[in-house]
Amino acid sequence: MSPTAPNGLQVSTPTDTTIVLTRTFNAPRRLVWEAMLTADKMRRWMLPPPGWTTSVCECDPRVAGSLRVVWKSEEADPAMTLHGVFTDVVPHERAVHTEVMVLGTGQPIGSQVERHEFAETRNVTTMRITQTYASKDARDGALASGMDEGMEACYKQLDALLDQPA
Amino acid sequence: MVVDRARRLDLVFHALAHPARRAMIRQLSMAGAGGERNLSELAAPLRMSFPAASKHVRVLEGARLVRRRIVGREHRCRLHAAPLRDATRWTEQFRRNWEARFRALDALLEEMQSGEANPHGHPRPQRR
Repeated sequence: MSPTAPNGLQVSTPTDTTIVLTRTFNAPRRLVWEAMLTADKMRRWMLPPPGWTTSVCECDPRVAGSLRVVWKSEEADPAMTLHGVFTDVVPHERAVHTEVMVLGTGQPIGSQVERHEFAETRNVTTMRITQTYASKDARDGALASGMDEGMEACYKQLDALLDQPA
Repeated sequence: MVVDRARRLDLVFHALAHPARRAMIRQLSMAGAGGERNLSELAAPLRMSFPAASKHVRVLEGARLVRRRIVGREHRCRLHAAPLRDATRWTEQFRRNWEARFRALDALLEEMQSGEANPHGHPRPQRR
Protein backbone atom coordinates (compact mmCIF):
# COMPACT_ATOMS: atom_id res chain seq x y z
CA MET A 1 0.00 0.00 0.00
CA SER A 2 1.02 3.58 -0.51
CA PRO A 3 2.62 5.23 2.55
CA THR A 4 0.79 8.51 1.86
CA ALA A 5 -1.51 9.94 4.54
CA PRO A 6 -5.22 9.17 4.17
CA ASN A 7 -6.80 11.19 1.38
CA GLY A 8 -9.86 11.97 3.49
CA LEU A 9 -12.87 13.72 2.11
CA GLN A 10 -13.22 17.35 3.22
CA VAL A 11 -16.50 19.19 3.15
CA SER A 12 -16.96 22.95 3.35
CA THR A 13 -19.68 25.54 2.69
CA PRO A 14 -18.00 28.72 1.40
CA THR A 15 -21.30 30.40 0.44
CA ASP A 16 -24.99 30.01 1.33
CA THR A 17 -25.78 27.94 -1.74
CA THR A 18 -22.67 25.79 -2.18
CA ILE A 19 -21.09 22.64 -0.81
CA VAL A 20 -17.45 21.95 -1.66
CA LEU A 21 -16.05 18.43 -1.46
CA THR A 22 -12.28 18.00 -1.72
CA ARG A 23 -10.50 14.69 -2.01
CA THR A 24 -7.04 13.68 -3.23
CA PHE A 25 -6.13 10.58 -5.17
CA ASN A 26 -2.75 8.93 -5.67
CA ALA A 27 -2.94 9.06 -9.46
CA PRO A 28 -2.34 11.53 -12.30
CA ARG A 29 -5.35 13.66 -13.13
CA ARG A 30 -5.70 12.14 -16.58
CA LEU A 31 -6.60 8.85 -14.90
CA VAL A 32 -8.81 10.46 -12.26
CA TRP A 33 -10.68 12.19 -15.08
CA GLU A 34 -11.09 8.92 -16.93
CA ALA A 35 -12.29 7.12 -13.79
CA MET A 36 -14.75 9.89 -12.89
CA LEU A 37 -16.19 10.55 -16.34
CA THR A 38 -16.08 7.37 -18.41
CA ALA A 39 -19.24 5.25 -18.18
CA ASP A 40 -17.62 1.81 -17.82
CA LYS A 41 -15.28 3.18 -15.12
CA MET A 42 -18.09 5.07 -13.33
CA ARG A 43 -20.00 1.83 -12.89
CA ARG A 44 -17.08 0.53 -10.86
CA TRP A 45 -17.14 3.22 -8.15
CA MET A 46 -20.52 5.01 -8.23
CA LEU A 47 -21.84 2.30 -5.98
CA PRO A 48 -25.55 2.40 -5.22
CA PRO A 49 -26.93 1.85 -1.71
CA PRO A 50 -27.01 -1.81 -0.61
CA GLY A 51 -29.59 -3.82 -2.53
CA TRP A 52 -29.58 -1.50 -5.55
CA THR A 53 -27.90 -2.10 -8.90
CA THR A 54 -26.87 0.27 -11.67
CA SER A 55 -29.10 -0.34 -14.68
CA VAL A 56 -28.02 2.55 -16.92
CA CYS A 57 -24.77 4.54 -16.91
CA GLU A 58 -24.04 7.01 -19.69
CA CYS A 59 -21.61 9.93 -19.66
CA ASP A 60 -20.53 12.14 -22.53
CA PRO A 61 -18.22 14.83 -21.12
CA ARG A 62 -18.44 17.33 -23.96
CA VAL A 63 -20.33 20.63 -23.96
CA ALA A 64 -24.04 19.70 -24.44
CA GLY A 65 -23.20 16.04 -23.83
CA SER A 66 -25.37 14.29 -21.28
CA LEU A 67 -24.99 12.31 -18.10
CA ARG A 68 -27.47 9.67 -17.03
CA VAL A 69 -27.27 7.09 -14.27
CA VAL A 70 -30.21 4.90 -13.24
CA TRP A 71 -30.32 2.60 -10.22
CA LYS A 72 -32.93 -0.04 -9.62
CA SER A 73 -33.93 -2.11 -6.62
CA GLU A 74 -36.06 -5.18 -6.19
CA GLU A 75 -38.98 -2.94 -5.29
CA ALA A 76 -38.55 -0.25 -7.92
CA ASP A 77 -37.13 0.21 -11.39
CA PRO A 78 -36.10 2.97 -11.62
CA ALA A 79 -35.41 3.51 -7.91
CA MET A 80 -33.36 6.65 -8.51
CA THR A 81 -32.23 8.50 -11.63
CA LEU A 82 -29.54 11.12 -11.94
CA HIS A 83 -29.38 13.11 -15.13
CA GLY A 84 -27.65 16.21 -16.35
CA VAL A 85 -26.00 18.08 -19.21
CA PHE A 86 -22.39 19.26 -19.48
CA THR A 87 -22.09 23.03 -19.86
CA ASP A 88 -18.32 23.61 -19.64
CA VAL A 89 -15.56 21.09 -20.29
CA VAL A 90 -11.77 21.37 -20.42
CA PRO A 91 -10.52 17.77 -20.66
CA HIS A 92 -8.54 16.60 -17.61
CA GLU A 93 -8.99 20.02 -15.97
CA ARG A 94 -12.62 20.79 -15.32
CA ALA A 95 -16.12 19.66 -16.13
CA VAL A 96 -19.32 21.43 -15.19
CA HIS A 97 -22.71 19.78 -15.50
CA THR A 98 -26.27 20.23 -14.31
CA GLU A 99 -27.68 17.44 -12.19
CA VAL A 100 -31.22 16.43 -11.28
CA MET A 101 -31.96 13.55 -8.91
CA VAL A 102 -35.31 11.84 -9.27
CA LEU A 103 -36.70 9.23 -6.90
CA GLY A 104 -38.85 6.47 -8.33
CA THR A 105 -40.83 7.54 -11.34
CA GLY A 106 -40.87 11.25 -10.83
CA GLN A 107 -40.26 12.76 -7.42
CA PRO A 108 -37.33 15.16 -7.95
CA ILE A 109 -35.30 15.33 -4.73
CA GLY A 110 -32.85 17.96 -5.81
CA SER A 111 -31.13 19.75 -8.62
CA GLN A 112 -27.76 21.39 -8.64
CA VAL A 113 -24.80 22.40 -10.74
CA GLU A 114 -21.69 20.26 -10.21
CA ARG A 115 -18.30 21.67 -11.01
CA HIS A 116 -15.38 19.23 -10.95
CA GLU A 117 -11.85 20.59 -10.94
CA PHE A 118 -8.69 18.52 -11.05
CA ALA A 119 -5.21 19.75 -10.08
CA GLU A 120 -2.16 17.54 -10.18
CA THR A 121 1.11 17.68 -8.25
CA ARG A 122 3.60 14.87 -8.74
CA ASN A 123 1.08 12.18 -9.60
CA VAL A 124 -1.27 13.21 -6.81
CA THR A 125 -4.55 14.70 -7.98
CA THR A 126 -6.69 17.01 -5.89
CA MET A 127 -10.28 16.85 -6.98
CA ARG A 128 -12.62 19.62 -5.95
CA ILE A 129 -16.35 19.26 -6.47
CA THR A 130 -18.43 22.41 -6.04
CA GLN A 131 -22.16 21.77 -5.81
CA THR A 132 -24.30 24.87 -6.33
CA TYR A 133 -27.95 24.72 -5.28
CA ALA A 134 -30.86 26.91 -6.30
CA SER A 135 -31.37 28.30 -2.79
CA LYS A 136 -29.99 28.20 0.72
CA ASP A 137 -32.91 25.99 1.75
CA ALA A 138 -32.05 23.47 -0.95
CA ARG A 139 -28.39 23.53 0.06
CA ASP A 140 -29.28 23.09 3.73
CA GLY A 141 -31.52 20.19 2.77
CA ALA A 142 -28.61 18.51 1.00
CA LEU A 143 -26.40 19.11 4.03
CA ALA A 144 -29.06 17.64 6.28
CA SER A 145 -28.63 14.40 4.40
CA GLY A 146 -25.86 13.25 6.68
CA MET A 147 -23.10 15.82 6.58
CA ASP A 148 -24.24 18.64 8.84
CA GLU A 149 -22.92 18.58 12.39
CA GLY A 150 -25.89 20.54 13.70
CA MET A 151 -28.21 17.80 12.54
CA GLU A 152 -25.83 15.21 13.89
CA ALA A 153 -26.05 16.77 17.36
CA CYS A 154 -29.81 16.92 17.02
CA TYR A 155 -29.98 13.27 16.06
CA LYS A 156 -27.78 12.33 19.00
CA GLN A 157 -30.23 13.96 21.38
CA LEU A 158 -32.94 11.97 19.73
CA ASP A 159 -31.13 8.64 20.02
CA ALA A 160 -32.56 7.92 23.45
CA LEU A 161 -36.05 8.57 22.19
CA LEU A 162 -35.55 6.54 19.04
CA ASP A 163 -34.44 3.55 21.05
CA GLN A 164 -37.76 3.43 22.81
CA PRO A 165 -40.64 1.65 21.13
CA ALA A 166 -42.76 4.05 19.10
CA MET B 1 -44.62 1.03 -2.16
CA VAL B 2 -41.18 2.48 -2.48
CA VAL B 3 -42.51 5.66 -4.10
CA ASP B 4 -44.75 6.38 -1.10
CA ARG B 5 -41.80 5.84 1.18
CA ALA B 6 -39.70 8.12 -0.99
CA ARG B 7 -42.41 10.80 -0.88
CA ARG B 8 -42.58 10.55 2.91
CA LEU B 9 -38.78 10.88 3.14
CA ASP B 10 -39.00 13.88 0.87
CA LEU B 11 -41.45 15.55 3.27
CA VAL B 12 -39.18 14.74 6.21
CA PHE B 13 -36.14 16.23 4.49
CA HIS B 14 -38.11 19.32 3.54
CA ALA B 15 -39.26 19.66 7.14
CA LEU B 16 -35.71 19.28 8.44
CA ALA B 17 -34.27 21.74 5.95
CA HIS B 18 -35.41 24.79 7.94
CA PRO B 19 -33.41 25.81 11.04
CA ALA B 20 -36.54 26.93 12.93
CA ARG B 21 -38.13 23.52 12.45
CA ARG B 22 -34.94 21.77 13.52
CA ALA B 23 -34.94 23.93 16.66
CA MET B 24 -38.55 22.91 17.32
CA ILE B 25 -37.70 19.23 16.96
CA ARG B 26 -34.80 19.70 19.34
CA GLN B 27 -37.08 21.35 21.91
CA LEU B 28 -39.67 18.62 21.58
CA SER B 29 -37.03 15.90 21.87
CA MET B 30 -36.02 17.39 25.23
CA ALA B 31 -39.61 17.07 26.44
CA GLY B 32 -39.01 13.30 26.67
CA ALA B 33 -41.02 10.48 25.12
CA GLY B 34 -44.63 11.56 24.75
CA GLY B 35 -43.85 14.92 26.36
CA GLU B 36 -45.69 17.97 25.09
CA ARG B 37 -44.85 21.62 24.52
CA ASN B 38 -47.29 24.41 23.85
CA LEU B 39 -46.98 26.17 20.55
CA SER B 40 -46.23 29.43 22.39
CA GLU B 41 -43.36 27.68 24.22
CA LEU B 42 -41.98 26.54 20.87
CA ALA B 43 -42.34 30.00 19.37
CA ALA B 44 -40.77 32.00 22.22
CA PRO B 45 -37.07 31.05 21.86
CA LEU B 46 -37.37 31.54 18.10
CA ARG B 47 -38.86 35.02 18.60
CA MET B 48 -41.67 34.08 16.32
CA SER B 49 -45.29 35.07 16.18
CA PHE B 50 -47.88 32.43 16.98
CA PRO B 51 -49.07 32.20 13.32
CA ALA B 52 -45.50 31.91 11.99
CA ALA B 53 -44.70 29.13 14.47
CA SER B 54 -48.00 27.45 13.66
CA LYS B 55 -47.06 27.39 9.99
CA HIS B 56 -43.80 25.60 10.78
CA VAL B 57 -45.62 23.12 12.99
CA ARG B 58 -47.99 22.45 10.10
CA VAL B 59 -45.01 21.47 7.92
CA LEU B 60 -43.76 19.18 10.69
CA GLU B 61 -47.25 17.66 10.97
CA GLY B 62 -47.31 17.08 7.22
CA ALA B 63 -44.09 15.11 7.54
CA ARG B 64 -45.67 13.20 10.47
CA LEU B 65 -42.88 14.38 12.74
CA VAL B 66 -45.15 16.26 15.13
CA ARG B 67 -48.63 15.66 16.43
CA ARG B 68 -50.71 18.58 17.66
CA ARG B 69 -53.81 18.50 19.81
CA ILE B 70 -55.83 21.52 20.70
CA VAL B 71 -57.01 21.79 24.28
CA GLY B 72 -59.00 24.93 24.92
CA ARG B 73 -56.76 27.73 23.61
CA GLU B 74 -53.59 25.69 23.83
CA HIS B 75 -51.94 23.92 20.92
CA ARG B 76 -50.06 21.05 22.51
CA CYS B 77 -47.35 19.50 20.32
CA ARG B 78 -45.38 16.33 20.73
CA LEU B 79 -42.67 14.64 18.71
CA HIS B 80 -43.39 11.57 16.68
CA ALA B 81 -39.89 10.23 16.06
CA ALA B 82 -40.56 7.25 13.77
CA PRO B 83 -40.12 9.12 10.44
CA LEU B 84 -36.78 10.44 11.71
CA ARG B 85 -35.61 6.90 12.19
CA ASP B 86 -36.24 6.21 8.48
CA ALA B 87 -34.58 9.47 7.49
CA THR B 88 -31.45 8.90 9.58
CA ARG B 89 -31.09 5.40 8.25
CA TRP B 90 -31.36 6.70 4.70
CA THR B 91 -28.98 9.64 5.16
CA GLU B 92 -26.40 7.61 7.04
CA GLN B 93 -26.47 5.13 4.20
CA PHE B 94 -25.98 7.99 1.75
CA ARG B 95 -23.01 9.49 3.62
CA ARG B 96 -21.29 6.16 4.09
CA ASN B 97 -21.94 5.62 0.44
CA TRP B 98 -19.88 8.71 -0.54
CA GLU B 99 -16.95 7.44 1.50
CA ALA B 100 -17.30 3.94 0.08
CA ARG B 101 -17.45 5.39 -3.44
CA PHE B 102 -14.21 7.28 -3.07
CA ARG B 103 -12.50 4.23 -1.62
CA ALA B 104 -13.74 2.22 -4.59
CA LEU B 105 -12.35 4.96 -6.83
CA ASP B 106 -8.95 4.67 -5.07
CA ALA B 107 -8.89 0.94 -5.82
CA LEU B 108 -9.92 1.48 -9.43
CA LEU B 109 -7.20 4.11 -9.94
CA GLU B 110 -4.58 1.78 -8.51
CA GLU B 111 -5.71 -0.91 -10.91
CA MET B 112 -5.69 1.52 -13.87
CA GLN B 113 -2.15 2.61 -13.02
CA SER B 114 -0.79 -0.90 -12.74
CA GLY B 115 -2.60 -1.73 -15.99
CA GLU B 116 -0.73 1.12 -17.71
CA ALA B 117 2.61 0.13 -16.20
CA ASN B 118 2.12 -3.45 -17.32
CA PRO B 119 -0.38 -3.53 -20.19
CA HIS B 120 -0.01 -7.25 -20.91
CA GLY B 121 -1.72 -8.73 -17.96
CA HIS B 122 -0.11 -9.68 -14.70
CA PRO B 123 -0.54 -7.15 -11.92
CA ARG B 124 2.53 -5.13 -11.10
CA PRO B 125 4.47 -6.71 -8.21
CA GLN B 126 4.20 -4.74 -4.96
CA ARG B 127 7.41 -2.83 -4.62
CA ARG B 128 6.41 0.38 -2.92
